[in-house]
Amino acid sequence: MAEWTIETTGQYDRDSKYYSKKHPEELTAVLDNLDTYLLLLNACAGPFQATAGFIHNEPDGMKAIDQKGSKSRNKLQQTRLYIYAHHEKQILYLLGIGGKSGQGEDIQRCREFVRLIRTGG
Amino acid sequence: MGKQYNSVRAMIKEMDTDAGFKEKAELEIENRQISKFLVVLRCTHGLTQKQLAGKAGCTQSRVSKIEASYDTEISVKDMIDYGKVLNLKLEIGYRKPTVKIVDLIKYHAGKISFYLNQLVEIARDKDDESINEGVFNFFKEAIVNINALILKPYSKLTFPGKSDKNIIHISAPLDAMESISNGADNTNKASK
Repeated sequence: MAEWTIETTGQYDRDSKYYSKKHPEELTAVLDNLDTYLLLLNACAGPFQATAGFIHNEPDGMKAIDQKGSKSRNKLQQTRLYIYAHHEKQILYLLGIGGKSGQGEDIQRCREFVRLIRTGG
Repeated sequence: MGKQYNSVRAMIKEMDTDAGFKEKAELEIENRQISKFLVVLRCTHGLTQKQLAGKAGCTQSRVSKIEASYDTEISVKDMIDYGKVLNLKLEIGYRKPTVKIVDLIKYHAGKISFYLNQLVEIARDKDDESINEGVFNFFKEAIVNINALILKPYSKLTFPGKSDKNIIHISAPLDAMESISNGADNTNKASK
């Protein structure tokens, strides 16, 4: 079975750069959880029901990966990495990262990316 | 769209940020390989943390703690407990970090050969038509899948002298052989 590939968007690149400087522990935690999610995708033949506490279902087939499970001594801020798994192409798109406060706007912006991806744009 | 990566660690390496962050993030991922493996095992068996805890006779928070642990914090007992619940036997192995990837591929190729021969032995010993057919069909699939397994990464390679032409993948050569042989049978029948 072929392995999944990660593809980033410009929005994700900007967000991850910002988080690596301002919230490095939160970014590390979501990337660690993303690594687990990628292992799950590679281990499962098709769409699966991932029952890990750090995965949240979002509209249009998007998922949000949060910072839960981190061993940091500090209390980490709520952080969400928005992703979209394209099962036919086996590409995991990283759409953007955001906090709890701007969640609605982040989701709307990421949904636009998902529409573009789905229409092949 | 942006860049493509085969792993999160490869993506972190390429990130446009300071080296200190990259080092810490990579180490964090590196230190949790076993707990992630246990999460994958549980999810691929369709179990929630609560369901696994119920079967293992422990609390959900215990399962949650194990799955968030660093590799150095997970006990052999934890791994045996997961194995018992999921009906899996624990196998532990070591390998030298200096072992080359090509040697690992050769090792696994040797293992594939070993198990394929075991299948052949089973088919011969049982002398059962349905088992024979099952093994034969498995071999047909394996020939196609193993070829595809090699061709897909190979097609991503770029090197001087490599032809730009796309690789033509024959999806089911044995089916084609069958249809040829069926065609030959029909021709024979027709000639009779």
